[in-house]
Amino acid sequence: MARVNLPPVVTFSWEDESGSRSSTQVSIPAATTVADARTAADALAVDMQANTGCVLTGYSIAFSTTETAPGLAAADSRVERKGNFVFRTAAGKLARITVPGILPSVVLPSGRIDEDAATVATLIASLLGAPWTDSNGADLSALVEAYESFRTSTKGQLPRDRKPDNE
Amino acid sequence: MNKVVATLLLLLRDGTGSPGRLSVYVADSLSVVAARAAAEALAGAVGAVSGCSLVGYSVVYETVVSDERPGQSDRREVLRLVFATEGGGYAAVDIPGLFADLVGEDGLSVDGSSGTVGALVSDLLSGPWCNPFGQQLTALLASYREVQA
Repeated sequence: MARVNLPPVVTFSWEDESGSRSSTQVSIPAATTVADARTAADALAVDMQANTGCVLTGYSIAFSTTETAPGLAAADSRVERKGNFVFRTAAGKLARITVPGILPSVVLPSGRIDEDAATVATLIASLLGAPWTDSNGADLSALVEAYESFRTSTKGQLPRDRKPDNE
Repeated sequence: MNKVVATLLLLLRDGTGSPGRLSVYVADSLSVVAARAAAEALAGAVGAVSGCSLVGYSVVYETVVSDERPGQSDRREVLRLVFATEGGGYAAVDIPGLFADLVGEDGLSVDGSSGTVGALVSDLLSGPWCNPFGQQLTALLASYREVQA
């Protein structure tokens, strides 16, 4: 396992006279804090806006970490096989977190995820703790349901050896 | 205005090599260091229930700009700035919607040394900006108009 922090990327989002969208991407050093990145981005935005008729709609700062030696995925794992964990939030709403490639061993015959399985219980406990929230910033407070579902495979996800052997 | 949450994306890959992702949210005020530590812990818990392998993760902080004025130019008119970087590298920065009056009579050149373009170049060279390999921008090599689809 070898994690490498990549230089963060600041993406400025633009909208032109027709409503079409475009973007500008610039990188910053890996050690830059969010606050410093935002300060620099605000200053650069002013200078960019003086040269473009597009409207700046916002920007994002992505701090990415890559695993240079990823472990082997289970041969029969499929991202289309989803583990869905639905939580009630502190605001009373529902939030769903989806785990791709859920292990069949933690799924009951009915398709419900076995929340009593040790590994599942650990994951649920992690998600119910800090710092995880829903998209509005409300804490996740209780598990409502957990189940398996399947997403349609794209052509690129079909087995590469799916054609019959020529004998 | 900063969004109240930042997005954490765990990037996974299954046995066929297909990519998948898990997205969760954290408070925008959470530092990158703390977000990464939480991501590592979550990745461990996810790894125990998923057959996918972890290939990386991203924490994305977003800021929304409220600007009521409409756009005044075409996004396909792009100002391209090409920089030399430390270590002998290069970097290109594209800004869509270039004002027509900043383009020279040849319809291609843009003066990168003065006016509003010069101020932008100066900010890029003096700020923390670098190329995707972390190499700081050192000098402007070229500035011109490019029409992009």
